[in-house]
Formats: sequence, C-alpha cells, structure tokens
Amino acid sequence: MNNSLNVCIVDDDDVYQFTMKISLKSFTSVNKILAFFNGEEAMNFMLDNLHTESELPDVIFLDINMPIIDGFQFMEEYAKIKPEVGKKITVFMVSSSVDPIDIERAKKISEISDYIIKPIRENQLKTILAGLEENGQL
Amino acid sequence: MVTNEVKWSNGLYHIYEHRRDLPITYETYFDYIYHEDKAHVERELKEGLEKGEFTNTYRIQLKDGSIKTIHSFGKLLKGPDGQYTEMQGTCQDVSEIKKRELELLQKNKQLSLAEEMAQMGYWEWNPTKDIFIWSENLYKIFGFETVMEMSLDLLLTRVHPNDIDTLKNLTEEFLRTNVFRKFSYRILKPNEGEKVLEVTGQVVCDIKGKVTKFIGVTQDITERTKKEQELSNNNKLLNMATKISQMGYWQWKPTNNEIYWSKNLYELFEIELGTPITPDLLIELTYVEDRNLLINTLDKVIETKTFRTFRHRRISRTGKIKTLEIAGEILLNDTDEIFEIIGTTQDVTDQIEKETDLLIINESLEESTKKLTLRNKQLADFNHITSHNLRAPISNLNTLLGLYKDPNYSEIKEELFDKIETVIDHLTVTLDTLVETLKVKQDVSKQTEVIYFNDTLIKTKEILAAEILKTNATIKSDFLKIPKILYNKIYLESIFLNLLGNALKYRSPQRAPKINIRTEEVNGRIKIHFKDNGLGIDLKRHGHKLFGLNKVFHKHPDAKGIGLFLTKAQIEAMGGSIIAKSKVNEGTTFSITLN
Repeated sequence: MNNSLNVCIVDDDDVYQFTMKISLKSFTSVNKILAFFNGEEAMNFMLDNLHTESELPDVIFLDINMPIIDGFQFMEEYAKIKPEVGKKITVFMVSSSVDPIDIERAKKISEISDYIIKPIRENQLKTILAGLEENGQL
Repeated sequence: MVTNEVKWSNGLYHIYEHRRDLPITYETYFDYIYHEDKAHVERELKEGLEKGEFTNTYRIQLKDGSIKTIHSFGKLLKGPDGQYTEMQGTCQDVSEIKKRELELLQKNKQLSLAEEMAQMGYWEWNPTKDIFIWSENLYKIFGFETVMEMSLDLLLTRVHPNDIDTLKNLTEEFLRTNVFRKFSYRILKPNEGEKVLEVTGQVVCDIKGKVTKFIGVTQDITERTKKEQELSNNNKLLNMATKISQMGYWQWKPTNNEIYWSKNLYELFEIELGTPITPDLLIELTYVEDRNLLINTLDKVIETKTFRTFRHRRISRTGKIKTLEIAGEILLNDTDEIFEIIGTTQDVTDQIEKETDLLIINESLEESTKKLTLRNKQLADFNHITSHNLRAPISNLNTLLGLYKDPNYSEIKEELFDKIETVIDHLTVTLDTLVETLKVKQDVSKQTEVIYFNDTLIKTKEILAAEILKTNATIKSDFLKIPKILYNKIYLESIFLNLLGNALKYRSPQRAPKINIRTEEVNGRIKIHFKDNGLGIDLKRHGHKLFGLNKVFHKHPDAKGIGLFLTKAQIEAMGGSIIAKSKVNEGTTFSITLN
C-alpha cells in the first residue's frame, strides 16, 4: 500500500527535521510529513484535527528536550485526549540523550512504543515504517 | 462461829474502811470479797474447816469501789465438846506488794521484748564456778534450748573456729586485768550460718576487789555489720565514681553558712584537705569574671528555693581555666524553709573541649557534605549537558555526512553542506559555553573587589542602551540599604547583563518593561532582586529546567538557553544561590543570594 502513512516529527532541532524529511521522502509508503518545533505546536495541531482522521498522524517521532512543551509534557497532554482520538497513533520517543533516567521514564509511559537514540539510521526507519504498514493492512 | 459473832481489830476496820459503829457479821465480811473471788474464798474456807487452818489471798472491793488484795491466815479453835467453835485469824493488805509484783512482771516482759527486738541478750558469768545466767533471748540468739545449763565449753561449741582463740585470749585478759573491753566474734548457728555478735560488759568485784562475776549484754549485729559493709562499699564506689568523673560533693547550710566538702572536692579545687570552707574562700576560688555570677546565682537559689545547674570557671594552679558544673538540691524543713542544700561540683573542662571539637568536626563535615553535594550536582549537570547538548549536534553531523556521501542525494549536496556548517557553528557555541562554565567553576573567587551596585547598573544600562530606548523601559533601583559588595566584578556585570537583558527580551508585548532592582541584607547575607513585568514563566512546567543549558521557554528567536545557565554557574561559584518567582503574563522576580 503506497502513500498510506502520515508521519509526524516533533523536534526543535531544524537540522534533524531537515535530515528526517529528506530520509522520509524517499519512502513510498509515506503520505504526509508533519513537522513541529515543539510539543505545543504539535498538540495544537492534534486538537484542531481531533476528528479528521486523514490529517492525524499514524506515527509520531517525538523529541524529549524542546521549548515550551517538551516530549514528556506532550505525552501527558496526549494521554488526556487519547480516548477521543479516532485513530491508532504509534509514538516513538527520539532523543540524543543516552541518560538512563530519560530512557526509564519513557519506557514507563504505555503510549510510547519505543525509545530511539539519535541518529536514526536509514535501516531503522525502514523497519519501523514497514512494521507500521503491516499493522495498517491487518 | 456458833453465835456468828465477828470481832475485828482496829487495823482491819482501817483496811476495810468500815465504820466502827456498824455491826459486823460473817455476811458483812463476805460481802466485801470481790465478786470474782467469792467462790474461791468459799472453797478455801470449806477446806480450812476440815484442816483446821487456812491461808488465802483474794481481793476485796470497798464501798468506794476500790480493790485491795488481802492475804489472810486463820486458825480454828475447838470448844469443850471438841467441835470447832471459833475462828481466829489475821488479814494483811498486800495490795502494794501485789502491784509491785505485777509491775516487775511487766518490766520483765518489756525487757524481753526489747531484747528480742534489739537481738540482744543479757548474761552473767561466774568465772570461778563457770556458772552462767542467760536471758531467754540470749539462748535464742545462740540457738540453744532455754532449759540447757550454760557453760563456757558449751558456748565454745557455737563459736566460729577462727574466733575460738580470740575469745579465750580475751577472757583470760579480762580475768587478769579486771577490765572488760567491748569485742565482737562470730558464731556458727545451726541452719542459719554465720552470725556476728558484739559483747559489752563489765566486771563485778566484791568488797575485797576479787572478781565475783562478769555481767553484760551480747547483741547479734550481723545485719548491722552487713549494712555497714554495704555502706562502706558504696562509699568506696561513690568515691571512685566521683574521682573518675572529676566530681565532688558538698553540703551547705545557708542559715549559718556551714559548708562541708568531700575529699574529692578539695582535690578538685587543689586546696589542702580539711581547709575550712567559707563563702569568702568560695568566691576567692572562683575566676574573677565569674564571681558576680556565682554570688547572683546562689542568691537566686536562696530566694527562689530552686537550684538550677550552672557553671563557673576557676583558674588551676598551672594557670589553666577550668569549667565547673554545679548541680544541687534543696532540702526544706517542716516550715518550708531551706534547711540544707546538697549537691555536686564537676570539672567539665575536658567534656566541653571534646564537645567543641566535635562541633567543629561536625561543622566541617557539614561544609564538606555541602561542597560534595554541589560538586555531585555539577557533575550530574555536566553529564546531562554532554548527554543532551553535545550528542545532538554530533548525531546531526553523522546523519548529514551519511546523506552527503549517499549518491541518491547528490543534487542537495550544497544544502547539506550548509547544514553541516550550521551544526558546527552551534556546536562551537555550546562548547564555548561549557568551557566558560568550567572556567567559572574552577576559578577561585579570590579576585574580588568592592563594587558599588549603582556603578554596575550604569555600565549595564550603557550596554543595553539601544534595547532600553527601543522598548521604552523604566529601570528603578534601590541600593540604599546595601550600596556595595565585595564580589567578582566580571561576574556581577555578567549577572546584571543577563538578568536585565532577559527582562527586556522577554517583555510583554502589551506593556513597556518596568524593572525594579533592589538590594537587602538577610541573616548577614546580601541579596539582590530583579523584578520585571514581562511575559513570566510557567514555573510548574518549566521550573526544573529554568537554569539548564540550551533550555528555552519562549518562542523568542534569540532564546538560546545560555544566559541563565551561565548566570547560575557564576553565582554558585561565589557561594550564592538564585531562585525565581513568576506568574505568566505578570512578570518574574529573580532573587539572588550573592555571598
């Protein structure tokens, strides 16, 4: 199934956003790429499109350290609105932090599928997207 | 008896206090007999009639109710027909004798009781005949049957084997010298074991000076000896304890200023044992500066009738200052007046020294802990910084390089290279900041000078002149209370520049910035407050990362998250701290404890 996935990047690092966008564009399974510089922007988008399934992302690559609303704070907000979201959204926490405290904290949040340490390699991205595609077909 | 005619002598009338003019019959006589004794007299009389004579003792009760004891003796006289016709007799008033007898019996009983209670027995010994007279209780003390005839040999069977010779020697000595000395010896009592007896006595001589007997008392002093031993042991222990604890005890009668000191107290004060203790001497023995304290304290003791433990000093012979702690208790008499004050005096100099040492050690430990905690936190901060702020650009560089090398992206190579440059610029800034903070942390805060807050403010205003003009900001300051500080000049300027710069940068778009700066002293530490009316920060959300590196909270294009991080490092390097209070859309106050 081509062009089926909406991918969301939440990260204040514009260079990271730039490289992710380039990488994601090379996948045919990717439909839309949404990019936000912090949790607040991303959350506002989610709230605006709560019932517009086609606009909502299938997967979020969420950074931890961001201004205004960081990754963890975003997850707190997301947990509140999750029951209203009509779509299954997979969240990956992505960070350059190798701090075990951050990793532990992320693993405790049930809505987070995995914790990925930056940089995300092309192979890794491929596997993740392939997995999401399969789930979508089932 | 035939005519029932009774004749009394004058004496009898007197005994019975019977009026002479009244007739006397047998019935009259019988009426006088005390009712309890009537049957007994009748019986005796009957028996007398058979025997021809009788003797009897009985009581009579007179008209006034008083009772007398009568001893009567009678004889029967036969008439010509061989029948008893007459009874002649005497009556004697033995009331007094009877009374004495009773008293004696009573006294004896009391003596016995006293002997028993005192565990004491009376004895007499005739040495020539070896005849003993022992009181009942003495038999008891030795555990002998009362019926046994006492002799020296029998006595010796009870004597402790080790004391037999002593006893024999003493007896010989008494016989030789005719002088009795008080002594004690031990006996072994069946079933009860060892007892200690104390013997007091005297020698009785006849007119010629020949010893007739020894008399005396023997007392069982086992309990007393035990108690005395215990007391003496306790005393020894007390002495030892007071010596070890460098303590002595005293007694003081304030009414006549009679003062008693224990031996240890004399040693404690280094004065000769037995020196009379007077109030003047006490004052003299006290350290000059503490004399008033001593006098006042003791006056107060007398006044309030309560003794609070207090300390005063004295100078030792070697010239060292010694601290004494005095504790006491007040003994009141029946009328609630002070009868005596007793207490202890302890040399607590060593104790105080140790306490002080411990306190110093504790303080330095606390200081070390503080420093270590701070160092630990700095290390954790640094770890956090490397983990977040250095890894991110490196990972970006890696990704960019990967893409750069990938032939699929050859047409965006130039763009990729631009990005690499951006990352490297960013990395440089981060590294510079880190190096700067490290320098701050290692920089010893010795390069300090007296700085006037107003001078620093003027300098900062000059640097920010353009911003202040553009934003139409008003900056007010109050440095009246604390106008200057001994501080590192560069740090203070940096603190002013950062906090003032922030206040201008994060101003509210709805109003012109109003900034208040003031200094104060709290608990001997100088504080400075920067208050603005700007955007404010949601501290609940961002408080934990307010002073972190590269943390920004506003969508401000110039927010880099370096200023507060550096400011905090500089403040902490000088031994201070910084906290923030803020309300979103109302403003922020940064309060800094500088030194």
